[in-house]
Order: sequence, then structure tokens, then C-alpha cells
Amino acid sequence: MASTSKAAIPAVRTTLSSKAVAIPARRTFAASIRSFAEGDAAESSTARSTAPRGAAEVGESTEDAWKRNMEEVREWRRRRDVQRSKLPLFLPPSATAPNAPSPLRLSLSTLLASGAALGHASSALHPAYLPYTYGTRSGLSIIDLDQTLPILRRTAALVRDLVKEDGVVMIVGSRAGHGKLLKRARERMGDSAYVVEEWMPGTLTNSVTFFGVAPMQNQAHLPDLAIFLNPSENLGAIRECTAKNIPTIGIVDSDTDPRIVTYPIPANMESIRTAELILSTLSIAGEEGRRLRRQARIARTGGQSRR
Amino acid sequence: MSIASSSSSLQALRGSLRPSATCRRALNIEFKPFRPVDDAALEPRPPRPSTPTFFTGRPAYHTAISELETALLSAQQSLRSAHIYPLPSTLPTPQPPRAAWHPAPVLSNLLGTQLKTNAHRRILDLLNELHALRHVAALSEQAGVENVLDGVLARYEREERGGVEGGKKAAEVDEWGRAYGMGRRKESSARVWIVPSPSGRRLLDAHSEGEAVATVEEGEGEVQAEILVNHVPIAIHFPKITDRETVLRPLRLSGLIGAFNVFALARGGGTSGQAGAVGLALARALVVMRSETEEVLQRDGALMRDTRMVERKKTGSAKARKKYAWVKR
Repeated sequence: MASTSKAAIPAVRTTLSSKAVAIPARRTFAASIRSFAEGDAAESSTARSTAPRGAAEVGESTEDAWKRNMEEVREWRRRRDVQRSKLPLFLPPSATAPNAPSPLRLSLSTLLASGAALGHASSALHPAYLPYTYGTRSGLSIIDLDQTLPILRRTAALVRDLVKEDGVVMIVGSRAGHGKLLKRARERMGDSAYVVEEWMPGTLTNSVTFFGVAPMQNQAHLPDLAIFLNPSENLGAIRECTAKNIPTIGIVDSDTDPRIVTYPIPANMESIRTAELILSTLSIAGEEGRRLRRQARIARTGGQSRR
Repeated sequence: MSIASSSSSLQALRGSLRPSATCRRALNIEFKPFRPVDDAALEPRPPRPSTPTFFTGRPAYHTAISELETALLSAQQSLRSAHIYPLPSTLPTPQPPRAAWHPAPVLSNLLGTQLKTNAHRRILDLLNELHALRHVAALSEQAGVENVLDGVLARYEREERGGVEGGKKAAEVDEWGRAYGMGRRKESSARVWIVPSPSGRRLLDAHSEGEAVATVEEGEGEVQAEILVNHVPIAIHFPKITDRETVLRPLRLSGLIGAFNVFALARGGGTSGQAGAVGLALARALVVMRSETEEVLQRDGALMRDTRMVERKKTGSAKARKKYAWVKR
């Protein structure tokens, strides 16, 4: 089985122009998967030439040797792509979910699947969080998603209406996996969203030191809404927002007091999938708000708006 | 063309100006009443922060990071579609030429924030990765990718002040055929000039041809090479044989004793310190005169500045290390 797959792949060191690629009549599933996964390993194992791979020949610089070898590798890869395109592509049924629900059509099962209901240890349950708890299982507090869903929908409507009125939303997510989510949210919401990965204390309350007095004079130094993906780890930022009377939204977990933010979304803060789900719901709502704002502007100015 | 009696005069006028249905169909135009675009009419947007990364507190830094990461991803994608990336693990990794980035203070100024170690390292890692990718693109003749990366990296690169990599200008033999070297040891410093001696012509020619030639015999009478230290011959300035050997060692190693006239000026310190300084200066001058001697002298350590200095005396001790006698009470 191994030999058939290796013999089928052309050796790199031979002159490629003269030989045609031998496509095997029959490939077993295991062989095709192995050659797919091996990639470079396959191309190294087939060439049993005497010279060590990549070595410069006499009178050739290392750079030229690298270029020559690289050309062979690229040719090999082009032929491999041609071969691959001819093979039937194997995909397990789970790879393509036929009807992936959009964040707007959020359902209980989607939230549950992302792990939103898993809270922290029941011994760490905050007393003020009790109304949002469904119960306890395996020593964990289970968050009541029946409440989370309408809360999330109301929060999304809030974001949409705020962006429709041309408000500024600040999204804060300081965990490792939040970077990509923030980027996508920014793409959706355009210049209505400002993302922060690491909070610098004093950004809102001491903005003169950071930015000078000009933004303060233009009243362009504060957001209109703040969304926190991990509020319990950004308490300083939340304090600054409350000091400046900025409403806050946050994903609160069962060990946190939900009253630290204005609009708590009870869900599992530790799960990146849950954060992705929630943030994409809110950012798509923001995108909708942009669209509505543009429509309203066009209607008001009679189609002569520049934007 | 009828004038409606109930509507306002403006509306009536508008109605009268509107072309009839048949006319519109014939001309195939969509009638839009003209309204001059007035700047005041366009609603100004409420003031908002100037940059997308405003609330990070370090907007320029985070903008730079995202720009570099985007450039890296797009370059990798382009190279991937050209079947270059990922580089085959079996080939040796191409080493890019040494990159000269701006020093940390300049980068801090550029990015508008005092860069601490982690932030600086993050920037440097990204820059070095982009630099390596640019080298790979250059080797594989992907001019598009290379140009894009050039544009991205331009503001972070330090201009070479001319000359070799490392910025040091190589010393040269001057118009009179002299090579100059400077050396220091302990508190002494020395300046040395060497020039080919008349008797050394034969030696030097043989040396350049790579032949091993025995040193010129004393009795042959051809030796006219002089070594002067502070205007006096070396034997008078350095009575001790060890000091003389320290001075002559570079010449012995390269087999060029008698080939040069040496003129040294030493100042400061004591005898062996001055001897060491003269020896180092001589070795450096020798490398300037004959670059092929560098390998031998480097391996011997003759080109290494001996940084050992007299250690200071400490309080509570008699000397730097010597302690006072221990007393039980």
C-alpha cells in the first residue's frame, strides 16, 4: 500500500520534461489520505538519489542551488495539484453543515452547542447571578439560556439602534482568541466600531495624557457604548465607562456580579465560540444599523447624499 | 397641463414641469427634480475618534501591528498560490541578509509610544518574518510580493551610512604606504604605524604568494627592519624579554618578522600594559596591511582587546579581594 502511493508520485530529481506523470488506476482511501497529509514527506522519501537533498553542486552557490531545488519542488507541487484535482474529494458529512444558522436566526440549540450554558463552579456562584442560573450539574452552575436568548436579542436591537443614530461602539476583548473576532466585528461595523485588545488604564478618564486636548475639545474622545467580551477581567475599563456615563454590555459568567455592566448577557465567558456567536450577533445588528442609517439619510436628502 | 387648485404653488409648478407619461417613455428618462447639493443640507456626522485604534491608547502602535500582520498574511497567501509557501523542510532555509531596523528609541518615536521589551520584540518578530519572506520572494523571482513588502518595511529600515554592513569603514593603507593601528591594555594606549621595510621586500613577496619563508637570518646583513617604541629601540624601551615577545607575537604568527618598520607611541600605564597595547595596535595594523593575516591573528586572540582592568578596593577589605584577618571577638 505504501509502495503504490510512493511509486505513483514522480521523483523530483529526474528530468521532469521527458517523463509523464503516472496516475494510478486505483488508489485506496488510506493511501490518498496519507499522501495528502504527508505532502513534503512524500516528496523527500521518493527521491533516493546519492547527493543530499538541497546540496549545491560543484561551482554553484547555495542560492543557485536553492533556486534550482525550489523550481523542482514547485513543479512537483503543480503536478500534485493537477493530480489532486482529478481525485474525488473526500469530505465527511460533518464538514459542510447544510444549513448553518446565521447569527440573526439565533436559536437555543445554537447557543447550547457553543457551550454558552456552562458556568463556573457552583461554589463560586455569585449571589446576584442566581436569577440567571438554571441549576447545577457536575459541580458547575448551568446558565439559563431561556433568559439569555431574549436578552441577546434586545441587546442586538440596542446596538442596531445606536449605530443607526451614528453612535460609536467600543468593543473590548482581552483574551487570546478574541483578536480575530474583533477584526471581523470591525469589518462589519466599519467606522462605528473601535476595537481594543488590551486596555490601557486612563484611556477614557485621562485622555488628555494619551491624546492631548484636541479630541476632548471636539468631544470625540469617548464612545457611546462599550461591549466587553470578558468584563470580569477588565474591571478597570468598566469603572472608567461608568465614571464617564457610558452604557456597557458584557458577557458575564456565573462567578461575576451581573450588575457591573448595564446590559449583562449571561453566558459562558471562557468559551471563544460563545463570544464569537454573541459578538457576531451584535456586529451584524450593527451592520443592519449602518444600512438603516444610510437608507434614512438617502430618504432625507432625496438621493443626493454623498455617502 | 392642469394647475391643481388645492396644492401649493411649488407643487403645482412641479406638477406642470413633469413630463407626461408618453413623453417620458419616448425619451426614456427618469425625471428627478434638481436640488443643488448644499453642504449645510448634508447632515454632518457627530465627531468621532480620529483613528480606528483610538481606544487602545496606543493607536499608532496597534495600527502598525495590524498593518504588518495583514501584509504577512497576504504575502504568505501569494507565495502559497505560487507553490513556494510552505517552504520544503528538506531544503536548507535561505538566510536573509542582515536586516538593520531602527533602534528602539526611534521605533518608539515612530509608533508614538514608549516601547517596552515585549512590545518591541513583537514588532521585531513581525519585521524579521516579513524580511525573511521578502528574501524568499526575491529568490523565487516574485517581484510583486517583493515590492509590496519593500513598501511595508521601508519606514522601519535604517539607512546604511555607506560602507560595509555593520557601518564601520574599513581602514586603509595611507598614501605613504603606512598602516595604522591603535590598541589599549589596562591604563595604557598605543598608536602604531607599520611600513614595509627595504629588507622585507623578499619576505612580503613570498608571503603574498603563500610560500613559507624562513625568517631572515641575523648574520646575512640584509635586515634593515626597525622597531621603535617612543622613539627608542624596542630593546631599550622594553628591557624584559616577555614584553618584547608580547609586542612581536603578531609578526611571528604571520611570519612577517623583519618585513616591516614599526613605529609605536605608547602612553600611560606601566611596562607590560604598554607592551600589550603596542601588541594589539600592531596586530590591528597588520590586518590593515595584509588582510590574509586576520585569520591567524583572530584564532590566536591577538586581535582581542584584553578588557581586564585593576579591580577596585572595597570597604571592609584590605584590597579588592584580600580580607582583613578574621578575629573571633
